[in-house]
Amino acid sequence: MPCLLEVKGITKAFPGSLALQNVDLDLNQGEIHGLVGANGAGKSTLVKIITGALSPDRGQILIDGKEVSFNDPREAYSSGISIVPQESNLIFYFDGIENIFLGNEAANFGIIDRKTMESQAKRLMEQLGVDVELSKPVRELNPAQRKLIEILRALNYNPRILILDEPTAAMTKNETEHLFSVMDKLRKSGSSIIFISHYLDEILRMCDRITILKDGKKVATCNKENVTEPEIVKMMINQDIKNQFPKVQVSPGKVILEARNVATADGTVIDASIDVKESEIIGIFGLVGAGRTEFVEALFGARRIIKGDIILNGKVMKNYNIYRAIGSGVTLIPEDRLSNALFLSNSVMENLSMVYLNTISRIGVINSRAEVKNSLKLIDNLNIVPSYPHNIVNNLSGGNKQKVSFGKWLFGNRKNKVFIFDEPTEGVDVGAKVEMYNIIGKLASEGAGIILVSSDIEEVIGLSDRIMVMHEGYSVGTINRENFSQEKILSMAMGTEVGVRK
Amino acid sequence: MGVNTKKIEKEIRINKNSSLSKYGTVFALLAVIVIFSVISDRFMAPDNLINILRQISTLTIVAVGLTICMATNDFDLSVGNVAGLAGVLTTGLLVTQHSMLFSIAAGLSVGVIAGLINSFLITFIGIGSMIATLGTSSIILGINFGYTGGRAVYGGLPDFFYFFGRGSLFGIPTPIIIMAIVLITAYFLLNRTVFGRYVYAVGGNINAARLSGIRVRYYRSIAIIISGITAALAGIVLASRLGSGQPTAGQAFLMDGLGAVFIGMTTIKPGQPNILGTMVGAFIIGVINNGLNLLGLPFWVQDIGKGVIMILAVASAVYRNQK
Repeated sequence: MPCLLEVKGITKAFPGSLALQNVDLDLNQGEIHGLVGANGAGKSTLVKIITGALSPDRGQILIDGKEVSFNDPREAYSSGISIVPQESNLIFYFDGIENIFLGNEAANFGIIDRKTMESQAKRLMEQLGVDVELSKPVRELNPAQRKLIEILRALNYNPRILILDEPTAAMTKNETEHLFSVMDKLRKSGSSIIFISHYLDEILRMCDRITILKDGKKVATCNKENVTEPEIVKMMINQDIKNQFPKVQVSPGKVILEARNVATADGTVIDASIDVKESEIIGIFGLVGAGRTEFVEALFGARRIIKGDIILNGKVMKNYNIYRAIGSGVTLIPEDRLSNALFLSNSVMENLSMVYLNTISRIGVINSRAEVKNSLKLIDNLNIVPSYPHNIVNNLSGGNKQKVSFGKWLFGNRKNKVFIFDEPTEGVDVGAKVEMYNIIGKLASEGAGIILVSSDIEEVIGLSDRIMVMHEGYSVGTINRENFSQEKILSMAMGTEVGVRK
Repeated sequence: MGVNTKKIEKEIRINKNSSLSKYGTVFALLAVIVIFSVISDRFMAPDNLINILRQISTLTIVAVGLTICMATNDFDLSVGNVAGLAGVLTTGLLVTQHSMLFSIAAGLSVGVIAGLINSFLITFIGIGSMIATLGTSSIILGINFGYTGGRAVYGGLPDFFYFFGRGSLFGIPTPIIIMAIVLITAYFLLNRTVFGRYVYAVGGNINAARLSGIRVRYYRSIAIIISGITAALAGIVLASRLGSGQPTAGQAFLMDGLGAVFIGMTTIKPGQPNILGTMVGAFIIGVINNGLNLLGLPFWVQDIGKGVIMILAVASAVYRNQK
């Protein structure tokens, strides 16, 4: 059996943590190889080392049996390794074509040949079976479309080895299916793929073999025939997950936050209403573009409304804004945590204390001892790894970043009244997901009202007491838990059925 | 296993030590000092060292304000002309028999007003800070020339006014004391207070800051106003040292001030404007100016030398940081 890529004994340390320890991996010709592990297990670090974005402290990488060492991703590209990284590295002001051909432009004597690039991109899209607007700046595209552009960019190098790091996180079912059929085609043509995903059903469906990482060490490499989903989960987190959606049953109290017929200035929300009671989890479901994120931003005062009322504790809020929202105990944990929630070059502690810094300050001077103490307590409560409070947040894994972006609302035992979670488990692994669910359940049982926006319909159904469905800027209805069904929710979200209007 | 873990722990420690490279620029400063003290025997004389401190005091005061402003991710390109106008206004009022307190307050208020206008343009109108301050800078220069007719203001300045630039307290020259006070205050503000934390938060991620309930406009405005005030203060101290209000005296502050902040961003807290780094940057600039001057080189050789040394110093610090 020819071994296309062989990774031997890779070790990589970062200041304060050991990201990888003696990890092996081998990839055969025409194989899709799954790479799974909890957040912080070292998956992204490993593929960064394979593509030359990081250099290993120890160990070697062999391609066709010959040792290689890449100084940067470009060298990896020319050796036939392409990566679609987890976090986007598109240039937002460039359009699709410019991004796809970035560093690889078709040109005659330095003059860019746009026509050739366009036709080449078109061919690629036909192979993929996708259609993306390529002449718009990518900042105007949604996350799924951006991801497709990145995949096109990677495939444009005709890679022998394609690395896909969480490609499906922002994709709809259809887009995911397209991607899978492309992966199948690539496999048949002899290319190999390293596929990273938190969705184990995707992994089991697509992969020939699966390597499981845990805490920077390889646990096992299994053939897909010999392993089941629960077994993988067990190897990933070393414990059984009995209940995927732990639902705490608490009877809801009085209404805390209410929105009536809200429309936003930018037209993304046209007429949406919701009410949240104490100890209640209300889900908001909708397809991409339904206006969910914009609606919850309006609930948080972060987006101007031109119509409708926001009512907090029975009082209609005049000149509602973020400061009033926070002052009244309303919090938002935004979807795009990297650009909207985290201070990446600041420490974990500085991120956690950010909102309620005044509570540990006197005449504007921060009490550093109180800051450390409170941060350590939160790090411990939320199980943030690594637990060092002075760690720079950018060095954390996706799930731990999410815990930090959420943890700042709990600093100093703060009891807030409403928590709005926008896609809280996107890019978060199974273990951390359940942790997140438990946290949400605990907050609700302590009396907080929860708004949960999610594209994962099972998640919304599993956790919510009620679900509000949005379609193209309208709230089309609210369903109680006893009437939950996937078909009904989906058809409402697609606008084919109007539910019970409040 | 046990041995293995120990080895790895050691590796982690080595990795941590590599953060020593964040002091590269500090070593470069020391290297420049050593080189000058070898070439010129006058360089290390206590008088000369005090002289260097005195020379960089005004630059450091400007650069400290710029540091705070740039920590919020805004530039203030008006500092040079703010300093110039503050200097000529203060001396001009003194020469026309106004009281010391009033004249200095008027000089400082140039900084406050410039800061208010800059922050209004940047945070309320939404103009980019570079363009906004470039514009106000030109306006301020015009006012300066209109007021002075382009001529120096001198003659009949009260003796006490010289205290700020030439005098001393307990044997320490006053400008050095003022510089020290500004440095310590700014260091405390940026590193120990809510204000400082939020200034860095706004500069680090303005969206996240807003969604964390931080009053972004307020912190940006205050930072811009502080930059104006320190520039005006430096202008007054400089006028006192020169013994006259020179219309173009402050203009070197802009480039040297930005230089000090940028050099500072390579050290202590790499990537972020920070007070200690800025201090190192101002020292590097001051030491180079002084050293090349002592060597008695023609002025144009000094300019070239200053540029080359600045680039080399920062390059030596930055180069190792890559990968």
